[in-house]
Amino acid sequence: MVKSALQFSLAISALMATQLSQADNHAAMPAYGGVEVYACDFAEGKDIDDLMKVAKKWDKWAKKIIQRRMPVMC
Amino acid sequence: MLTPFFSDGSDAGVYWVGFSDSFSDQGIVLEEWLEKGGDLQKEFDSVIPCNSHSQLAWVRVRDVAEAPLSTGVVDFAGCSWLPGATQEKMAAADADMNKFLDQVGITARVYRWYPMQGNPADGLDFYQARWHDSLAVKGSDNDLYVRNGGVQLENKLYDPIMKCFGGPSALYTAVGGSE
Repeated sequence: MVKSALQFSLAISALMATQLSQADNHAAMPAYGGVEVYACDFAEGKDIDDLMKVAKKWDKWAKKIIQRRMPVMC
Repeated sequence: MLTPFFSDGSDAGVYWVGFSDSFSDQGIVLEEWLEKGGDLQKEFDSVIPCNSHSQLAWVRVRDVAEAPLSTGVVDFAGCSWLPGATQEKMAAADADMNKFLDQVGITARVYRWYPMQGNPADGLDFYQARWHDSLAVKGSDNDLYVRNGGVQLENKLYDPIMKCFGGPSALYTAVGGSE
Protein backbone atom coordinates (compact mmCIF):
# COMPACT_ATOMS: atom_id res chain seq x y z
CA MET A 1 0.00 0.00 0.00
CA VAL A 2 2.78 2.41 0.94
CA LYS A 3 4.49 1.74 -2.38
CA SER A 4 1.29 2.35 -4.34
CA ALA A 5 0.49 5.54 -2.50
CA LEU A 6 4.02 6.74 -3.07
CA GLN A 7 3.84 6.00 -6.78
CA PHE A 8 0.58 7.91 -7.06
CA SER A 9 2.09 10.81 -5.16
CA LEU A 10 5.13 10.83 -7.44
CA ALA A 11 2.92 10.75 -10.50
CA ILE A 12 1.03 13.79 -9.27
CA SER A 13 4.29 15.60 -8.48
CA ALA A 14 5.77 14.93 -11.89
CA LEU A 15 2.59 15.95 -13.67
CA MET A 16 2.46 19.12 -11.64
CA ALA A 17 6.06 19.91 -12.53
CA THR A 18 5.34 19.36 -16.22
CA GLN A 19 2.11 21.30 -16.22
CA LEU A 20 3.66 24.13 -14.27
CA SER A 21 6.37 24.56 -16.84
CA GLN A 22 3.87 24.26 -19.69
CA ALA A 23 1.47 26.72 -18.09
CA ASP A 24 4.00 29.48 -17.70
CA ASN A 25 4.11 29.14 -13.94
CA HIS A 26 0.36 29.27 -13.44
CA ALA A 27 -0.23 26.65 -10.77
CA ALA A 28 -2.15 23.75 -12.28
CA MET A 29 -3.07 20.69 -10.34
CA PRO A 30 -3.27 17.66 -12.60
CA ALA A 31 -6.70 16.16 -12.85
CA TYR A 32 -6.94 13.25 -10.48
CA GLY A 33 -9.52 11.58 -8.32
CA GLY A 34 -10.71 8.37 -6.78
CA VAL A 35 -11.93 5.19 -8.36
CA GLU A 36 -13.66 2.33 -6.60
CA VAL A 37 -14.26 -0.93 -8.40
CA TYR A 38 -16.59 -3.77 -7.49
CA ALA A 39 -15.93 -6.99 -9.43
CA CYS A 40 -19.21 -8.85 -9.67
CA ASP A 41 -21.11 -11.58 -11.49
CA PHE A 42 -24.75 -11.74 -12.40
CA ALA A 43 -26.81 -13.88 -10.07
CA GLU A 44 -28.53 -16.81 -11.72
CA GLY A 45 -31.51 -15.63 -13.75
CA LYS A 46 -30.50 -11.97 -13.54
CA ASP A 47 -29.29 -9.82 -16.41
CA ILE A 48 -28.41 -6.29 -17.38
CA ASP A 49 -32.05 -5.17 -17.29
CA ASP A 50 -32.30 -6.18 -13.63
CA LEU A 51 -29.10 -4.29 -12.90
CA MET A 52 -30.31 -1.14 -14.64
CA LYS A 53 -33.43 -1.12 -12.45
CA VAL A 54 -31.27 -1.10 -9.32
CA ALA A 55 -28.88 1.37 -10.93
CA LYS A 56 -31.75 3.80 -11.46
CA LYS A 57 -32.54 3.72 -7.74
CA TRP A 58 -28.84 4.14 -6.95
CA ASP A 59 -28.65 7.17 -9.25
CA LYS A 60 -31.44 8.89 -7.29
CA TRP A 61 -29.71 8.01 -4.01
CA ALA A 62 -26.34 9.32 -5.24
CA LYS A 63 -27.78 12.59 -6.51
CA LYS A 64 -29.33 13.26 -3.12
CA ILE A 65 -25.94 12.75 -1.47
CA ILE A 66 -24.28 15.08 -3.95
CA GLN A 67 -26.87 17.80 -3.37
CA ARG A 68 -26.67 17.48 0.39
CA ARG A 69 -22.97 16.99 1.01
CA MET A 70 -21.18 18.12 -2.16
CA PRO A 71 -23.12 21.21 -3.23
CA VAL A 72 -20.16 22.55 -5.16
CA MET A 73 -20.75 19.84 -7.78
CA CYS A 74 -24.37 20.86 -8.44
CA MET B 1 -20.45 0.12 -15.32
CA LEU B 2 -18.04 -2.00 -17.35
CA THR B 3 -18.78 -5.32 -19.01
CA PRO B 4 -15.96 -7.37 -20.54
CA PHE B 5 -15.76 -7.39 -24.34
CA PHE B 6 -12.30 -8.60 -25.36
CA SER B 7 -11.39 -10.89 -22.49
CA ASP B 8 -9.27 -13.94 -21.71
CA GLY B 9 -12.18 -15.35 -19.73
CA SER B 10 -10.75 -14.53 -16.32
CA ASP B 11 -12.72 -11.32 -15.90
CA ALA B 12 -15.77 -10.89 -13.70
CA GLY B 13 -19.14 -10.66 -15.41
CA VAL B 14 -19.59 -6.99 -14.63
CA TYR B 15 -17.61 -4.23 -12.92
CA TRP B 16 -19.37 -1.52 -11.00
CA VAL B 17 -17.02 1.47 -11.15
CA GLY B 18 -17.43 4.69 -9.21
CA PHE B 19 -15.47 7.82 -10.09
CA SER B 20 -14.97 10.74 -7.73
CA ASP B 21 -13.44 14.15 -8.36
CA SER B 22 -11.47 13.89 -5.15
CA PHE B 23 -10.77 11.45 -2.35
CA SER B 24 -12.83 13.67 -0.08
CA ASP B 25 -15.88 13.18 -2.28
CA GLN B 26 -15.16 9.48 -2.49
CA GLY B 27 -14.96 9.29 1.30
CA ILE B 28 -18.31 11.05 1.68
CA VAL B 29 -20.05 8.68 -0.72
CA LEU B 30 -18.52 5.62 0.93
CA GLU B 31 -19.52 6.84 4.37
CA GLU B 32 -23.09 7.55 3.28
CA TRP B 33 -23.27 4.17 1.60
CA LEU B 34 -22.11 2.36 4.73
CA GLU B 35 -24.56 4.25 6.94
CA LYS B 36 -27.63 4.44 4.72
CA GLY B 37 -27.15 2.25 1.66
CA GLY B 38 -28.08 -1.05 3.27
CA ASP B 39 -31.38 -1.61 1.47
CA LEU B 40 -29.93 -0.75 -1.91
CA GLN B 41 -26.90 -2.91 -1.15
CA LYS B 42 -29.24 -5.88 -0.66
CA GLU B 43 -30.83 -5.18 -4.03
CA PHE B 44 -27.42 -5.02 -5.70
CA ASP B 45 -26.39 -8.25 -3.98
CA SER B 46 -29.46 -10.03 -5.30
CA VAL B 47 -28.57 -9.05 -8.90
CA ILE B 48 -24.77 -8.81 -8.98
CA PRO B 49 -23.04 -10.37 -5.96
CA CYS B 50 -19.49 -8.99 -5.84
CA ASN B 51 -16.24 -10.72 -4.98
CA SER B 52 -13.98 -7.73 -4.53
CA HIS B 53 -14.04 -4.03 -3.78
CA SER B 54 -10.92 -2.01 -4.52
CA GLN B 55 -9.75 1.58 -4.42
CA LEU B 56 -7.55 3.25 -7.03
CA ALA B 57 -6.55 6.75 -8.03
CA TRP B 58 -7.16 8.05 -11.51
CA VAL B 59 -4.81 10.55 -13.14
CA ARG B 60 -5.67 12.13 -16.47
CA VAL B 61 -3.03 11.81 -19.17
CA ARG B 62 -5.13 13.07 -22.06
CA ASP B 63 -8.77 13.99 -22.51
CA VAL B 64 -9.73 16.20 -25.40
CA ALA B 65 -13.48 15.92 -24.85
CA GLU B 66 -15.49 18.35 -22.79
CA ALA B 67 -18.20 15.99 -21.61
CA PRO B 68 -17.90 12.62 -19.94
CA LEU B 69 -18.77 9.56 -21.97
CA SER B 70 -22.23 8.08 -21.64
CA THR B 71 -21.22 4.90 -23.44
CA GLY B 72 -17.98 3.72 -24.97
CA VAL B 73 -15.15 1.22 -24.96
CA VAL B 74 -12.18 1.07 -22.62
CA ASP B 75 -8.93 -0.70 -23.46
CA PHE B 76 -6.91 -1.62 -20.39
CA ALA B 77 -3.20 -2.38 -20.15
CA GLY B 78 -1.31 -3.48 -17.07
CA CYS B 79 1.97 -1.59 -16.73
CA SER B 80 5.15 -1.71 -14.67
CA TRP B 81 8.03 0.73 -14.39
CA LEU B 82 11.42 -0.35 -15.72
CA PRO B 83 14.67 0.31 -13.81
CA GLY B 84 15.81 3.87 -14.36
CA ALA B 85 12.33 5.17 -15.08
CA THR B 86 11.32 8.42 -13.48
CA GLN B 87 8.05 10.27 -13.41
CA GLU B 88 9.75 13.16 -15.19
CA LYS B 89 10.70 10.86 -18.10
CA MET B 90 7.13 9.56 -18.16
CA ALA B 91 5.69 13.08 -18.23
CA ALA B 92 8.01 14.04 -21.11
CA ALA B 93 7.03 10.91 -23.06
CA ASP B 94 3.35 11.65 -22.44
CA ALA B 95 3.73 15.18 -23.76
CA ASP B 96 5.28 13.89 -27.00
CA MET B 97 2.67 11.16 -27.38
CA ASN B 98 -0.22 13.55 -26.73
CA LYS B 99 1.16 15.90 -29.37
CA PHE B 100 1.21 13.03 -31.86
CA LEU B 101 -2.34 11.95 -30.98
CA ASP B 102 -3.55 15.51 -31.48
CA GLN B 103 -1.76 15.80 -34.81
CA VAL B 104 -3.27 12.66 -36.31
CA GLY B 105 -6.76 13.31 -34.95
CA ILE B 106 -7.09 10.49 -32.45
CA THR B 107 -9.81 11.28 -29.95
CA ALA B 108 -9.09 8.59 -27.34
CA ARG B 109 -8.98 9.70 -23.71
CA VAL B 110 -6.07 8.28 -21.72
CA TYR B 111 -6.02 7.79 -17.97
CA ARG B 112 -3.81 5.91 -15.52
CA TRP B 113 -5.26 4.12 -12.55
CA TYR B 114 -2.91 3.61 -9.61
CA PRO B 115 -3.83 0.77 -7.25
CA MET B 116 -4.32 1.85 -3.66
CA GLN B 117 -6.33 -0.55 -1.49
CA GLY B 118 -7.79 -3.98 -2.08
CA ASN B 119 -6.06 -4.67 -5.36
CA PRO B 120 -4.35 -7.94 -6.36
CA ALA B 121 -0.66 -8.19 -5.55
CA ASP B 122 0.16 -8.83 -9.20
CA GLY B 123 3.20 -6.57 -9.31
CA LEU B 124 1.65 -4.03 -11.65
CA ASP B 125 2.43 -0.41 -10.91
CA PHE B 126 -0.60 1.01 -12.71
CA TYR B 127 -3.31 0.33 -15.25
CA GLN B 128 -3.53 2.41 -18.37
CA ALA B 129 -7.07 2.98 -19.62
CA ARG B 130 -7.73 4.26 -23.12
CA TRP B 131 -11.34 5.34 -23.64
CA HIS B 132 -13.07 5.48 -27.03
CA ASP B 133 -16.53 6.80 -27.83
CA SER B 134 -17.56 3.56 -29.55
CA LEU B 135 -16.21 0.37 -31.10
CA ALA B 136 -16.18 2.12 -34.49
CA VAL B 137 -14.15 5.01 -33.09
CA LYS B 138 -11.79 2.55 -31.38
CA GLY B 139 -11.24 0.97 -34.79
CA SER B 140 -10.57 4.25 -36.56
CA ASP B 141 -8.31 5.44 -33.71
CA ASN B 142 -6.30 2.22 -34.03
CA ASP B 143 -5.96 2.66 -37.80
CA LEU B 144 -4.83 6.27 -37.41
CA TYR B 145 -2.32 5.14 -34.78
CA VAL B 146 -0.82 2.37 -36.89
CA ARG B 147 -0.78 4.20 -40.22
CA ASN B 148 0.85 7.31 -38.79
CA GLY B 149 3.67 5.58 -36.95
CA GLY B 150 2.13 5.47 -33.49
CA VAL B 151 3.51 2.05 -32.71
CA GLN B 152 7.06 3.11 -33.56
CA LEU B 153 6.70 6.31 -31.57
CA GLU B 154 5.28 4.39 -28.61
CA ASN B 155 8.23 2.01 -28.67
CA LYS B 156 10.68 4.88 -28.81
CA LEU B 157 9.04 6.90 -26.03
CA TYR B 158 7.91 4.24 -23.60
CA ASP B 159 10.08 1.15 -24.08
CA PRO B 160 12.92 2.66 -21.98
CA ILE B 161 10.68 3.44 -19.04
CA MET B 162 7.80 0.99 -18.78
CA LYS B 163 6.45 -2.33 -19.89
CA CYS B 164 2.75 -2.76 -20.59
CA PHE B 165 0.72 -5.81 -21.44
CA GLY B 166 -2.53 -5.41 -23.31
CA GLY B 167 -5.39 -6.41 -21.09
CA PRO B 168 -9.11 -6.69 -21.61
CA SER B 169 -11.43 -4.27 -23.34
CA ALA B 170 -14.71 -3.44 -21.71
CA LEU B 171 -17.92 -1.77 -22.78
CA TYR B 172 -18.75 1.23 -20.66
CA THR B 173 -22.21 2.48 -19.77
CA ALA B 174 -22.74 5.48 -17.51
CA VAL B 175 -25.48 4.78 -15.00
CA GLY B 176 -25.65 8.16 -13.30
CA GLY B 177 -24.59 9.33 -9.90
CA SER B 178 -23.41 12.76 -10.99
CA GLU B 179 -25.01 16.14 -11.57
